[in-house]
Amino acid sequence: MATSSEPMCVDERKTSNVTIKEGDQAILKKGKTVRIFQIRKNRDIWLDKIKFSLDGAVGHYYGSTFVVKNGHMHKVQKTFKEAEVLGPEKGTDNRDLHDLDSNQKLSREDIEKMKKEGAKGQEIIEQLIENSTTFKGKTEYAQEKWVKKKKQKHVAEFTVLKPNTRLMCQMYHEKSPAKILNIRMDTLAQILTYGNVHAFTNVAVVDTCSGLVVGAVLERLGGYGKVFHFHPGERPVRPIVDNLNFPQEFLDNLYNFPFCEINSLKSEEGKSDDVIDNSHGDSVPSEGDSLSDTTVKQCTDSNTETNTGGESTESQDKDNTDPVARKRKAEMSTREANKILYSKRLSEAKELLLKRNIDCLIIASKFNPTPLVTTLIEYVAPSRPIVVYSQYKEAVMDAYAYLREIGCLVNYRVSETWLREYQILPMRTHPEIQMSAGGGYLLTATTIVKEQK
Amino acid sequence: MSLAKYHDKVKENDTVILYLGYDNMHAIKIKKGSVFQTRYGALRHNDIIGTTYGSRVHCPKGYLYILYPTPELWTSNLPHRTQILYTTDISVVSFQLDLKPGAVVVESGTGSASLSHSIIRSILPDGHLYTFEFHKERAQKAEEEFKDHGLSDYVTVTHKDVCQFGFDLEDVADAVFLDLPVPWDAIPSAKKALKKQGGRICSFSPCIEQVQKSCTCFAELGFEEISTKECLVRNFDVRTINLPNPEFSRDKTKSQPPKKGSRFDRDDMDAYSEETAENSAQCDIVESSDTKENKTSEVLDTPAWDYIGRKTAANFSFKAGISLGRMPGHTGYLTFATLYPL
Repeated sequence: MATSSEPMCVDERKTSNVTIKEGDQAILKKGKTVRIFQIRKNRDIWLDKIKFSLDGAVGHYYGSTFVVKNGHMHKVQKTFKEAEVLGPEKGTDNRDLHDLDSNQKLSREDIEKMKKEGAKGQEIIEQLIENSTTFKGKTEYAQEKWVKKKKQKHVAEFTVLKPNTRLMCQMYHEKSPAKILNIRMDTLAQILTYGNVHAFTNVAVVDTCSGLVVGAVLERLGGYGKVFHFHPGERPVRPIVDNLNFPQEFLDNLYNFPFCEINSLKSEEGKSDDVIDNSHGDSVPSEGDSLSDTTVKQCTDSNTETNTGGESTESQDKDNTDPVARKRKAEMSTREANKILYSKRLSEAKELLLKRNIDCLIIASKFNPTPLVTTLIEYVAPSRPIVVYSQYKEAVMDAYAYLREIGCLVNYRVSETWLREYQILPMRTHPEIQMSAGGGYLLTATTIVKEQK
Repeated sequence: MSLAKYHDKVKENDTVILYLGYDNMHAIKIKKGSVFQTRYGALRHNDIIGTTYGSRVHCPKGYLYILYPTPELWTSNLPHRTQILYTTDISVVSFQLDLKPGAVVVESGTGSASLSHSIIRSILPDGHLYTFEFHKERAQKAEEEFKDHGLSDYVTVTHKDVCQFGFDLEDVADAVFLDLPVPWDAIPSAKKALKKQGGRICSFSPCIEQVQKSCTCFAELGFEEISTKECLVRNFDVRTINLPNPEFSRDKTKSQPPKKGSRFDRDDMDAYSEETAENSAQCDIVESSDTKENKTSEVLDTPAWDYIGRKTAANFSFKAGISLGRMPGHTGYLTFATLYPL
């Protein structure tokens, strides 16, 4: 089996990604709001109704906290704690407190004015407290809760974080869970662990969750080992992998495998790789596609080659200052280069899969898992884990039933995990009021050497 | 042998997992000439040496499978010296601490090294685990096991009481894991051990009072995003269920009584078995026997694909995932926090 390319030396990898750099994908976290942006200089973004540029972040450590002043980011020290603004006065209960708008003497305009004049977050909160008729009558706990709420509303402080699987999963699960098939973090955690995903393993992943599982696997592989991403359509849709900003060496180990090539894989047993046969016209990606992330890089190189080649022969035939003709020629050579690269990668993937030594098969897609797992299990080595995820227990049970019929696995388990978060505060400890209703279902099992019946 | 990298064939000194059936596995260390007694008879180690992992091996009264030891299989079958962390919690810890190759992790207490094996697997080849255990023999046993499993290069075991003496590590760790009765005694030293560029920490405690004190300590020391979670696993037993239709009159010509002696008449759910012994392999799909029976009974007015299962005059049959009896209700609370750079 071909070994993966040598990953970056350890120190380089550790230091190069702790500071914020231009071009990085970065997560901006403000309280519960988690959004991802690409750091580009002189370009404004919107976060929580505030517009500003990200320039001020460049050069600082990830994990730094910033405030926005006049459309620019400024690094600050840690945010003040609620307890720091509380005075000695407090009440015992809320029997005499009435919930009226007039309780707060400062108007919205007053607050905006303070912000424009550059008042610090702590000052604004202190002003709000002074101008509140009811604050001193609240209990200590109610005061803390009130301050926390005001902080979230008026203090534009946020942290810049390096994207990783945990944060991407959290972000998507909160904002658009359907895009990740409702995979909750604990379910994803089980998938990675039960799949024994680690360096030097080759993992086959069926992923239609925006690349969350592929990304998580790539992260756990750390550049060692290969990933085969099985996907519907001609091109994989995996924005999360892009957000995770992996180094090129990691992505070189990521192979795309469209579903529509699976049958040809099955029929190719025993044949040597045939580059030309695979590139049937309909399976060619268009220019500027994210099919394999090596495509763009390699294609640019071969693009310049073919361009120079093309132009020298063209000069006799065409007016080579004609920009339209030149562009069309360039597009065609890019397409040709892409086509060749695509076929090459696909052949490579097929060759590797046909060795039947996949170390882990993970299925997390919107499709019926049964045909996927019964087909792809053939390429998994014996005594290796498989993990099938579905939002629906019935789908997982169906896959289980069919696999048991085939008889190529042992150690079956159909399960789901239950996750609950807690509020831990002195005298106020209890589970959170709301919790996730479901995180999906898993089928895990271990392959065995298939007996000839 | 190595838990770090798969290899194909069983060698002497390998730790292998013997799979006999559902909930019936054993971890054994292969030694030439040894014999392991199973319910299917004697298993000679010599017979296993050289076989491919995943193979079926025959014993006098049945057969079993030889499986490669993953950290998960090891966790399920390791000898307990202390209460251990199980895979459900281990998965969440690994995920929330952002473990990956190259990560440096500090852990205390090592205990039975269940979590330790998983951590090492996730951070190799360029990461490292510093694990601390205050019980001398347990520390030694853990060290031996790591050696047996080919993981010594990735781990340093220290016999030390970190609550009293601290970790004596500074600016090295990406993540710290604490499973201690008094974690707040170790948290200040844990903070020091974390890298200046920041890192993650986790404290596992069975009792809520410990969690409260730990969270207060985290907050005082400047940790952020302090979050306490609990994760429990629920397993499902997949089987076909036949619910007989009730009789509404004494006239018995309309419907047939339920099949006598059906497995599913029994209350005993332990009838479900994945046993691999030649004589008792049972399949959950009873389609064939249902069809035979229902040919004679009147099939009700149902479409070819019924809404959930199959209905005949006598029965409603469907495949169900059942959770009966007991399930783990509590293992411990997992508290995570982040240390950001200054």
